[in-house]
Order: sequence, then structure tokens, then C-alpha cells
Amino acid sequence: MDAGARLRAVKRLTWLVGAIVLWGVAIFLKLISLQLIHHKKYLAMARQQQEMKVELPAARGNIYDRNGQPLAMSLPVDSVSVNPRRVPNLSIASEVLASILNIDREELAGRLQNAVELKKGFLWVKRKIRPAESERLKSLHLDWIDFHPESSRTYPAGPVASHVLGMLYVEEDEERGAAGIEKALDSELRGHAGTERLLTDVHRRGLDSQISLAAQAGKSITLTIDEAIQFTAEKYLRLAVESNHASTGSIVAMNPNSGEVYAMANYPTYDPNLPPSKNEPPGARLNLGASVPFEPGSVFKVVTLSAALETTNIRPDTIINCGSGAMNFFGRVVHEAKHGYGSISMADVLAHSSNIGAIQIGLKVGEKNLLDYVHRFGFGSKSGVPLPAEASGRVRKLERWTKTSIASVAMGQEISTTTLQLARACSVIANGGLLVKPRLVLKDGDIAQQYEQPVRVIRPETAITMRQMMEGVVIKPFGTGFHLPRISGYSFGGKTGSAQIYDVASHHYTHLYNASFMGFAPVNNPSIVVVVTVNGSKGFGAPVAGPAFSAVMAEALRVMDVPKDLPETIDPKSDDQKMLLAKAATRADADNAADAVMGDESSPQPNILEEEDTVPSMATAAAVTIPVAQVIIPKKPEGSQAPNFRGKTMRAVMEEATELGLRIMVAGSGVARQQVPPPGSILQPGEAIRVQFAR
Amino acid sequence: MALRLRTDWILFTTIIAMVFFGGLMIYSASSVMAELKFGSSYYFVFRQVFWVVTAVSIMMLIKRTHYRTLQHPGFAFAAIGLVLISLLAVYLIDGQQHRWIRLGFVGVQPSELAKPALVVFLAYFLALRSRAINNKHTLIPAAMAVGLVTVGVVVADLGTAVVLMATAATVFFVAGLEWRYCLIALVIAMLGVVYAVASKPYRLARVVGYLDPQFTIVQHFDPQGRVKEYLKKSLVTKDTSYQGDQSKIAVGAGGVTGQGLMQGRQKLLYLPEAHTDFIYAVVSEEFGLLGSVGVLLAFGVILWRGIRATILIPDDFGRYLALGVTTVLVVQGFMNMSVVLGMMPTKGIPLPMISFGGSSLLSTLTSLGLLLNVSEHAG
Repeated sequence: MDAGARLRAVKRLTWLVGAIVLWGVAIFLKLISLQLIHHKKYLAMARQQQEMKVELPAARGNIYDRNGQPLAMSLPVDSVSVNPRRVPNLSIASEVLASILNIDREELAGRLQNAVELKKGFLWVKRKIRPAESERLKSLHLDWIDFHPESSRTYPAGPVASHVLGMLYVEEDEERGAAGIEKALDSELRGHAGTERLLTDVHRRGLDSQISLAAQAGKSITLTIDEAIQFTAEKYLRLAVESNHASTGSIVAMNPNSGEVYAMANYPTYDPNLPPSKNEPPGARLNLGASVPFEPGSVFKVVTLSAALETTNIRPDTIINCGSGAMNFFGRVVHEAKHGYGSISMADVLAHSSNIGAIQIGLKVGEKNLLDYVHRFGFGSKSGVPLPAEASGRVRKLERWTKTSIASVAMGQEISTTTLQLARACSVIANGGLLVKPRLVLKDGDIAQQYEQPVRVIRPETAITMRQMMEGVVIKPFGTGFHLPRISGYSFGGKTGSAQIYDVASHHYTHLYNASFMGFAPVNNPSIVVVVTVNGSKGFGAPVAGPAFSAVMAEALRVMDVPKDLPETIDPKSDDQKMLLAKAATRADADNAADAVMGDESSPQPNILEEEDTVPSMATAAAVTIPVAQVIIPKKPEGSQAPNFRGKTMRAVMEEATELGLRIMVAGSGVARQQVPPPGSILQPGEAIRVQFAR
Repeated sequence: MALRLRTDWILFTTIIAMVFFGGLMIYSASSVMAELKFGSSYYFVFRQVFWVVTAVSIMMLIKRTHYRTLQHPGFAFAAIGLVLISLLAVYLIDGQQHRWIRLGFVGVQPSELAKPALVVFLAYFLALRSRAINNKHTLIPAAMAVGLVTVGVVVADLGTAVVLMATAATVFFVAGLEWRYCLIALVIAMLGVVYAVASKPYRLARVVGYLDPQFTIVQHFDPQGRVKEYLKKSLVTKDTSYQGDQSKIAVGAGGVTGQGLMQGRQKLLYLPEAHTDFIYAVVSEEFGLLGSVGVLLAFGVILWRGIRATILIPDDFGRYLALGVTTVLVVQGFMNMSVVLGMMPTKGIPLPMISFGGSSLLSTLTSLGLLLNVSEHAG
């Protein structure tokens, strides 16, 4: 190679090397751009496609009764998902999943297809499957099926307190409270879902996971409800409604001093473990006692008389002229239930439940004062109990009162209230004149709920006087409540009510009544208030609502260990006989009452009726105790055998029952000691097993 | 020849370090995929170890053999002839890709072996005719040989063909090819590339995906969408820019210091060919800017040592051998990096010394064996 050629070669080589070095510099600059300048952007893009956020559901808090009995629990169940991009054959997969999980094959196939097209890596197949389904699916060992532990809501006590508890519905894969405490305290119970960051490959296979936010379990709620009292209330309410061929009913039992509601029962009822069905009676899921107001009738005379004691010079022995049994008031004729009472004391007006007497007293009080006391007793406004659908009832403003309104209001018409409001009003008398706020929640998580200072609405003397007069209702031989079953060892007082049901459509009062009884015990230092309302009965307050009142009151006094204030008497009759007697009494009385009804159905004016004192078959057994009975479920030789739960823990029992698809009702705590029906007996389809736990 | 030769330790160390680093990166990039596909996370690593042992042995053998032994028509023509025959054979045997000859459990890519063969042939030929480069008796046979090999390679492997053409062009350019011939060669080469690209839908798809991912320009002069339809025939990439995007995400996510060895996530099947053509993306993701610049600098070392040998070696054969080898390796390395960084449309070429692949490693280390030997004599 000559020198010239060599020089040229070196020159060209230099150019070439220069070009390659330039290329290298370009690569370097590009690296700087990607890895230094735009690093964050690319890192975000990388994480976005590589990571999948999976929600970790929080366990819903339990709901307990005041003694720690579980009323609502969340039990572990499996939910099934698939990674659609890993499903080998969509039609076979949907066939298999649909047949095991009992879901629609077509619908599932459609969802799978859709997910594959959208390149989704995750699809819920079915949430909260049954343990048996889970077991079958797991036995197939298909690696594209994923199981996720979740929890399922169970109400171990079955229908007990169902209206207070409410129920859940599922929205966007999330359980939400639909009614009752489940709804009112949903945010407390629900907790906070956590998130898990799942590292995935391009086919959305999870390779590694990292919990970025731990799920926070919901708080548990302890109610003021006592399961035993609640159970008794539901049992006797059912008896009262069914034996009187009434349509609905409700019972509220509460502590008049603290406002704690011990029982809130409604009929018809439902099992919150089951989804709403068409077979349920209409309104089975309504908390009638708090949400559906009605005209209270004579029980309201307590308010009229309290107002009179406070605002007029009428005293219990002041004589009121009740005339001859009928009264013309601005063209409206008001009748007594049966006959005129002549001139009687104010105390006897209450005992007889004289309509004319109540009107006379109401007129003395005056419209303004009467309305004031209606409000003071808490009517026309919500009690503030934590239930989502509480009704405030209706109290007309003074401007809208007609000339005859004062007469109506004095005897509990032209006004509507709920059973809960009546219990609250009765508590004013029972606790010495304070308006308490009813409470359903004892503890929210571990924190005891604040007790609100009650407001004084009437003088203590008035309350004490009213108590004595209300005791008269049940101890005076002519008192409307005289034939109420006695409660062994306790004095009690109360007021009956039998409001004719006003048919809005035809503007007439019908021959059906809202039969009610509100009362307290013991008289001198009342610890319990119970209000029973039975709607649509043909019978009057005392015979229809009375037996249930006595039974629930007796149970509440026993459970709450209230000191006795009377010597105990021995009950010669069994509980069942007593109930039969009560039923017979009701029917006989209903017949009597029908005769007693005054023929003013044609009148568009409201009217009120009150029961008479003669309740024939209740005999003269002055004191009858009502022991609390256990539910004995009849055995029928069909269906599966009851397993042996004895010696097992509550959780084990719950899980076994869920697995076997059995409904159980639990009571007590500790290990299972007794069960009804006993092990090995044949269960009727849908029959529940009641298991008694003890330590 | 009593002169004691000194090994080019800088070059040698760089090569060995890169090969070992490559093995490590292949394990990192392939373990998850290998586990999923073949049931063993070491599937590719074991294979690579076999090839490393073989290829390093061959490299050491060549390093110890004087390069001028090869300056013989027998070697030059035998090499190019063997490559042409095997290219024909692979065209007939591998009916699909025309890329692989399977020998037992190993596959060989003749196109890879064409690189050292062509370099040896060109060095021999140019040394022989160094005084009459621009003579047609030199140019026509040389052009025919280069053309034959390139056509043989381009059927299966456009990337390698481009590397070969670039190498041939470089060597001729330095050897003193007149500008007009350079221009003619450039025009022919460009026409060839355009034809080669258009003949395979996946190639066109990659080029269009690089230049015009949203089809806005294509839409302009092809309103009927025939081109788009044609590109859809490509089974390799449904989304024409997918590979490039995934690769850029991996590199960008690496940052300055990287995610750490084995900590990269783009290799979880997001990156196509993570252990072969896109291994540089895995290096960048796991070792960050430090790692990616490190590999870039390693190729810089090869360039430096290669050009140094080219300048210092006294004979023409050694000069063109060193230049050819250096050009082949550095151009291929830079091209691979440019593809990974999205500076060029996707081509199926591996990163020399790092990527998984027996033929590639064999070819690369054979070439480097030659360069080491030339460098020893230059020193």
C-alpha cells in the first residue's frame, strides 16, 4: 500500500470510527433520556401493567345482645374467581362451573367471553359459595380456579330480633345494610377493605403479592336487646296475634330509666338468613313497632290526665260527670263502650277508660296545654333510636285542629304514634317525669355508648300520681285491666287501649281494633316498661294484648333480676293451660265486644270504643304466674337427622350447621349442652334446631 | 517468529466478563419463562453453559493459531462455500423460517456463521487485490460473493443481512473504494432492503410500527387500508409497536441504579424474547443506567482494541480481518441496542456475547478469537 493510499485509508477509517462513536453517543443520550429523565413515567407504566390491585374484604362486625349472645355473625366462606386468560376451554369451563355452583351456564359463558375479549385477568364466578360446593370444586384440582376466603352473614338466633338487626344486600360485590342496625350502623360494622398488590405476568398470573393496606375488621355492636326477653316477646306476640285472628302486632320492652330497649318484637316476622321471598306475609320485614304509626286510642288518656294534673286543679279524687253514656259535642256523638258511668272520680275515669270523662278533662286542660303535653311526652317526633326507618307519627298543628279535635286527641284519636313512642311516653310516668331517649346500642366496638341526660317533662308528683291511677286500672275490680294475668311477686300498672281502625278509603271506622296495653312494673319503682300493640284484632286491648304484656313483663323482671315487691303466690296452673284460657277469654270477649259496639259506623266522625270490664272465663284466679317456656319444636318423621351438637363450641356448631344446611337457633354461651330436637331425631324440612350453650 | 506474543488482556478480559455477565442475565431473563414453559428455570442457562464451553474453547484455539494461516484460498473459499451450502440447506430443511438446522438437541443458524466466513473471505480477497480495488475484476466477483451471501441470509434474517452489508461496505470503503462505486452499492443495498422489508408482512409491520404507529401517514396515501390489511397477516405482532413499547418501559423503569439482579418484572412475559434479542432491556431494567452504559462501554472497548489492531497491524489481510470483525460485532451490538431503545424498527438480531443462542455465541467468539490473535500480533 503506497503512502497516499495509506493516508486515504486512515482518513476513511477515522470517518468511520467517528460515525460509529456518534452512534454510540446517540445510544448513550437515549439511555439518559429513558432512564434518567423519563424514569418516573416509565416506572409508572411498568407498575400499572405489572400490578393488579385486589381488594381484601374486611370482616363485618358481629352484633351481640346485651349479654354477648351473637345475633349476627360473619362466618368464613369461599368465593370463586377465574383468570379468564388461563381458562383452557371456555365452554367446558362454564359447563363445569355452572353445574357445580348452580348458576346459569349461558350467562357465565357470556361473562367469560367478554372478560377474555377485554383481556381481563380476573373474573368473579360466584361469591360466597356453600362449603359443599367449595369442596366439590376444590376436588377437581383445576389450577385456573381461584378461591378467596370471605365471610358470610349468619344470624344464629334465626328470626329473633330480626327487625332490629335488619338485613344485608349486596351491591357492587359489597355487603351493605338494608335495614335495621345493619343499615343504621353500616359504616361501623363494615370496616375498611384492604388492598393487596399482586405482581402479575403478562397473562395476569399472580406471581407474588404484597399487602399494601391491611383490611380493618368492622366493629362489633352490642345491643341493649336481651335475647331471652326478645324471644319471649316474639313468642307471645305471635300467640296474641294468631289466636285473635289479628293481622300484625308489636311489642317494645324497655328500661324507663336508661332508655335501654330490652325487646322490640314485631309480627309477622322473618328469618334474616333467608332472602326475601314472595311467600312471606306482606310487611314481614318492616319494623312495625318503630316505623308504622297507628291511632293509639285510650292508652293516650294517660297524657290527657297527666296534663290535667299539671295544668288544672283536677286531682285523682275530683269528680267528673261522665253522663249517661253518650255525649253530643259540636254535633258529634261520643259513646262510652257499654254504658254511662255517671259521676266518677278522675282515677275511675282512667280505670273505666271513660271516653266522656277523658273529653271533659281534656276540655279543662284546653287545646294549647293538651298539645303541649302531647309534645312533651315525645309524640310527633322521632325518638332518635338508631333505626333507619323510624317514623315520627302525626300530631296536627293547633291551626289545623277542628272544634272537635280536642275531644279526639283527649282520647287518643286524630293522632298517630308508634309502639316505641308509646313505650317512651310510658317511661315518662315510670321514671318520675323524664323523657328518655330509647337506646338500642349498648356498646359500639368496645366503647360504651353515651347515655344522654333525659329531659324533665312532668313533675315527679304527677308521675307518681299517674302510676297509682294506672295501678288502679289493673287492681280495681271494674278496671279495664283487672283481668290481666298477674305477675307473681310484682305489682304493676298500665293502661288499656282499643282504637277502632279508621278506614281511610271509606272514611269510616271499621269493626277492627288496635288493641294495646302499656304498663310498667313494679309500681313504686318501675324498672321495666312494656307496650303491646295488636293491630286488626276483633277483640279489645286487655284480653288481646294483656296476656302478652304479662308474659313479657314477667320474663323481663326475671331476667333483669328486679327485686320483688309482693309476696310470691303459687301458680296452680301450667303455662299452656294459661294460654288456652287467655285465648278462650279473647274469643268470648270479642263476641261480647261486638255487641257493645255502637252503631255509628255510618258517621264520618271519628269515634272511640273502650272495652268493658267483664271478661268471663278469666275466672277469679287473681294471681297467675307466667313462667317462661322453651320452644318445643314438634318432631315429624321426615327429612334428615339432627346431628349431635353436644359438647361443641358455638363456632363449631355454626360451621357444622352451615355445612349441613341446617337452621339453628342458639342460646347461652360456652359449649353446647342441650338441643331440641335431640340428636338423631328426624328433622322436618326447614326445621330449626335450638341449641342451649352453657359454660 | 521468536517474538513472544502478549495476549491483549484488555480485550480478553472484556470478552470473558461479557460472556459470564451474559450467562447471568440469561438466567435472570429466562428463569420464570423457562419454569412456566419447560418446567425448569435452568433450561436456557444449561444450554448456554454448553455453548459457552464450546465457543470459548474454539476462541482459544483460534487465538493460538496465527491468523495468517487463514490467508489461503482454501480457507477463504471453503468458508464462504460451506456457508452458502448450509444457507441453501436451511432454506430447504426449515420450511417455515429458513433459519434453523437441527443437529440433535442443538440448533445451528447458518446465517450467524456467515459473519466470520464473509469477514475471512473479504480479508483474503481484498489483501489479494489491494492494489486494484476499483478494478472490475476485483469488484464483480467480490460483489457477487457478498450479494450471494446477503441474499442467502436475507431470506430468513434481515438484521444479519444488514450487518453483513454494512461490514462489507466498511471494509471496501476503508480499502479505498471509489465514491461512485460506494454510491452504486448504497443504492443497490437500499433497494434490496426496501424489497426485503416489503416482502414479509411482519417486517413491514415493524417498520410501519416504528415510523407511523397510528397509521396516520399510511392512511394518507392508502385510504382503502390495503397496507393495513396486508400488515394484519403478520402473526408475529398484532400490535405493531407492542415490542418497542414494552422494551422502552423496561429500560425506563430501570432508572439509574436499576431494580436489582433478578428483580426486573418486564421479563415476566411482557418483554418478547427477553433472553435473546431484548436482553439489553433486562440488563437496563435490572442494572439501570450503570449497567446499560457498562455494556455500551464494553462494545466501545471492542471498537477501541479492534481499530487499534487495524491501524497497528502491518499486513493487509490482518488489517481487513480486524476491521471486518470489529465492524460486524460493534454494528450488530449497536443495532441491537438501538432496537431495544426504540431508535430503530424491530429486527431479530441478538446482542453479541450477552444474548442466549449457540450459533450467535459461536460466531461471535470465533470472530473475537481472530481479533485477539490479530491484536497480539499488532502489539
